[in-house]
Amino acid sequence: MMRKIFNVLFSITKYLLFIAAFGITIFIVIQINTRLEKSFMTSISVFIPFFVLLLFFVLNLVLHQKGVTNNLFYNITCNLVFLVILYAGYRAFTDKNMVLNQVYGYGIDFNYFNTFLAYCNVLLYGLCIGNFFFMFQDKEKDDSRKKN
Amino acid sequence: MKKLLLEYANLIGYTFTGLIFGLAFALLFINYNHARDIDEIIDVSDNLTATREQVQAKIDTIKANAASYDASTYQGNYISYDLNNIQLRLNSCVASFESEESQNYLNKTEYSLKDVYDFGEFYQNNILNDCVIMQMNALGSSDSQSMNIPSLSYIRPFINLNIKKLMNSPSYIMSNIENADNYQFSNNDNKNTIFSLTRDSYYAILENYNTSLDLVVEVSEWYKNTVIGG
Repeated sequence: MMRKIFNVLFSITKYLLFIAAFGITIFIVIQINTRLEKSFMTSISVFIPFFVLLLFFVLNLVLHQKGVTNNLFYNITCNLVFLVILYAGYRAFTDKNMVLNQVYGYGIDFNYFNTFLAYCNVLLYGLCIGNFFFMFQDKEKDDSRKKN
Repeated sequence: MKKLLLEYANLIGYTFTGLIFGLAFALLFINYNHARDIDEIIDVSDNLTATREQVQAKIDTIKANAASYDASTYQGNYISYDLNNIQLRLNSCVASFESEESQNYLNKTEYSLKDVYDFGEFYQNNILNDCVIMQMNALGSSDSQSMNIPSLSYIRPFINLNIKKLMNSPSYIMSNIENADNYQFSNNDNKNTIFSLTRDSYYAILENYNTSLDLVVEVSEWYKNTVIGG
């Protein structure tokens, strides 16, 4: 029972945090491109893991893939990853001890977030791979879980 | 067979998710510790009074030496224009060292990393650029047509050497502080015994400040001797 409650809770927060993490990333990347006077399309590769993960989430919902949506560990990991992205974005904005935050006059430490983007991609691609393998849930196991 | 493959898929899924979980947790802890590390505030009140008194004594020496030349009573051999020129340069440097901003930094008892960076910027713009490079550098240049004081050639190497040393140091310190946003953090033992970015940067900038002041003091001593001896 508790497991089910936690699962529902983490499932909902997973989607909310995903939207927030994507929002903060796209905002900072747009600011980076504005400062460098580059087209946004040059940074599109940063968002490919976001789009792929979104596709997987949509498939999980549409095809009712219980192997993913009922996987408490996977949901907790998703929440943790999106929280880390949000924390990095928060620090890029608010941590004034990172002096580059104010040097260029944008109020964002681009260097710090730029370094973090590589880890961000690794985390998101890892979630995509995990999601993919959890899709192949054994139907018998799934049915027996439903009965329990 | 199908069951085995599905079990393996499940296993690989948990492996990847576990690795991502570990990496995310590690990144969270690294970021948290890094944020705490660069939030360090140092207390410099121990040597503050002594530093302030030292700086004021040196400024008073420069002022007194610069005032040794009085255009209305000077009867020496050197061109008044040249002596006036040097006096103006020394007074300009005194103004930089005596400025309100300079005094604020010397009176500050606690410094964060941002405060140290601001102190470094102030030193680079107001002391290094306005005084050392704009005022003292001209004395060190052998191309200068307006300085017809023979003894200047003896002090020129000293001026040039000090300017070269002062110009190289601040950019390294400032660069170090700007790169503090890299994922690194230390512990209290290392900070107390080996290296603390905030503390060591502050004392390095203060040392440069004092070295710049010493340079101007030496030039002012030479000036006084030139005026009296000329």
